[in-house]
Order: sequence, then structure tokens, then C-alpha cells
Amino acid sequence: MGNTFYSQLIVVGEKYLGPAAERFMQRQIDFHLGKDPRNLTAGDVDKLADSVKIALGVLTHDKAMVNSAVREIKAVAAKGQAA
Amino acid sequence: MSKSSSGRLLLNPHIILLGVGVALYAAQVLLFPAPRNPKYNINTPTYIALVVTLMGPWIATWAFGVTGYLRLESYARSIKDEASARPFRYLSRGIMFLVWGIIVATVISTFSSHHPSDVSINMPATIIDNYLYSIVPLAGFYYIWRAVQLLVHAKAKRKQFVDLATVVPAIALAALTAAYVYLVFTNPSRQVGVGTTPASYYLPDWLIVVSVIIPVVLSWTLGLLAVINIYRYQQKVAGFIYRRFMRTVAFGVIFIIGGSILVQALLSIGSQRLAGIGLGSALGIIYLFLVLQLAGYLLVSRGSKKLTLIETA
Repeated sequence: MGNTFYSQLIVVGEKYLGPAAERFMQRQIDFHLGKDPRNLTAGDVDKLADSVKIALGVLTHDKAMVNSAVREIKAVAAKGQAA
Repeated sequence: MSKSSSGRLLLNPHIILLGVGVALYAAQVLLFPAPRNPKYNINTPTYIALVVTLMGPWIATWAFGVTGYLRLESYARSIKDEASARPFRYLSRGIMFLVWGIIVATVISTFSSHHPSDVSINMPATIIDNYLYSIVPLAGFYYIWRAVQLLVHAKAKRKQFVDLATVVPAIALAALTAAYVYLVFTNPSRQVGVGTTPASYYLPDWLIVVSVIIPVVLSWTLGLLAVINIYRYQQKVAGFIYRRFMRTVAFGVIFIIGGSILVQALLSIGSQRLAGIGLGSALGIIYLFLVLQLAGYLLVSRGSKKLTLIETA
């Protein structure tokens, strides 16, 4: 479950950060959640989405893009919880 | 920038060497003005205006060049995965060769321009300068080409972006090569000076072919391949934000390669024919080269800084 969830997050990340997505997600999870990405659960997603929102806000002023990324991350979590 | 990071930057050997290069160049130009070419008939105020408008942007180009490759290197260091970092390390190295090639060549040619009729200074200076404009860019373009190859391979699973659409650049390269060879061998002052004009190469024809023309054409081939592939890479790479930053670096690299090819082609004309096209046209070409180089290094520097943010945000 953790692995699948993490790989789905990477797919979302790649849409915005391309080849740098996996490193970016790993760093966010490590720094802000203090977890191994393999143990990530849908319950961690709100905190992760917050940290991704702040980090993406540093990279771009395009708020619509940042919000869209956050929405997609939350959608991955919602899908995980429903499953 | 914090006090400690600006202090570290000033102690960086690349920045110290840049300072030495700028000091040597500025001292030669400002303290010991070179004799003016009588063909151009330039008065003193015009000469000062020319020196300032050429020297300022030229030094800025060097500074952006050095910060550009240092930022690329810093970006490569920020990537923990070595395979992903390697293309940017190569790109940084390639740009480093190009930047230092033009810095050293400028310092040497400025020195020799003070002694236009002294062959004992002019000959070695011209030979070294020609190699700095042929062999050094070949090394630079090789690293840039290799970097782009690695980026493209990582994206396209070992499939190059070179396809039938490269036929047009291939024809352009063939035409450019033919024009270049023609200009070199119709240059009346290529081996020995004519009148007050010093020789362009001071080398026998076979050595011009082997040590100047072949490296230059090879470097153009690698440069054009790098341009085609990095252009397509920035179009196709995934990631809205990453692509935007990568595009800045890619266009920087394209401008740098364009400017380098322009200056190599310009050298084949020879100073006698260059004087013949008139001051306005010669300055137009020089300013075009300056704009391409300045914009190129500036874009690489800005793009690398943005890319580094992704790795640190």
C-alpha cells in the first residue's frame, strides 16, 4: 500500500517537476514527515500536501499550478483511503 | 546573499582567476591603449566610446560565464543521484572550457594588438589564439554534446532526437563548412602578414587544415547536434515547472554555441578583409557576438539557479 501510494505521488510530481520529482518528494517526506517513503500512508497526505504547497510556492508564482498539484496529491490520498 | 556565502564566493579560485583576467585585460585597454587602425580613421572620443561599449559587456559576459558554470556545478552537486547529476556536471565543464577559452584568448590578443608590427610577439600570440578558438571550443562542445546525449538518453531510453528533421541543419553545416574553408584559403594574409596587417595563422596550409579547420568543423558538428537535441529535450521533458527552468538553460546553451560558431567563422575572414567590410559592419558582427554570448551565459546562470531551487526547496 505504502509503495503504491508513493509511486502514485511520484507520477503526480513528475507532471510538475519532471525528472526531479522523485528527489523532491523524497525530501519533502523525509524532512516534513520524518518517514521512509515506503511507509507513507494516505493519512500522511495533508501534512505532505502542505509542505509541497510551500515548496512549489518558492519555485513558481503560478498559484493555479500550485493548487492543482496539491489537489492531485490529495486526490491520490482520497483514492487510497477509498480502496 | 549572506556575508559568509559572498566571502566564500570571493575566495573561489575561479572568481580569483576571473579577477586576474579582468585586471589584465582592463589594464591593457585603459592604461596602454593599442595603436588605432589608420583605415578606420577614429577620433579619440569615438575611440573611448567604442572601448567602453565593448569592454563593459565583454567583462560582464565573462562574469556571467563563470557564475553560469559555477551555478551549474552547484546544481549538479545538489542532485544526490550521480547518474542524474552527471549531465549537468558535463554541461558545466563544457561551458567552463568555452568561457576560459575566450578570456585567455582576449588577454593574449589584446597584448599582441599593442605590437602589430612585432612578429616575435604577434606570431606566437596568433598561433595560441587560433588554438584557443579551435581546440578549446572542441573540448567545450564535446562536453556539452555529451551532457545533452545523457539528458536525452535518460528521457528517451537511448533513443536520440536526431531524425530526418536534422537534414536541414546538416545541409547548413555543410554550407557553413564550405564557406569557412573558402574564406580561410582565400585569405591573402593567412600565412604571412600583408602590409601592416599581421598574418591570420602563421601556419603552413596542411597544419591549418589539421589543427584548425578539422577541430573547428568537428566542434560545429558537435555544437549543432547539441543544439538540436537540447532544443527538443526542453520541448519534450516532463514537468511544467522543470521544463520552464530547463528551457532557460537550453536557450542559454543554444546562444552560447551560436556565438562561439560566429566568432570561429569570423576569424576565417582575416583582419585585412574585416577592415575592408567597414567599421560599422565589423562592429555589427562583434555586437551580435557579444549579445549572443552575454544572453547565453546569463540564461544558463539564471536557469541553473532556478533548477537548484527544485533540489533545495
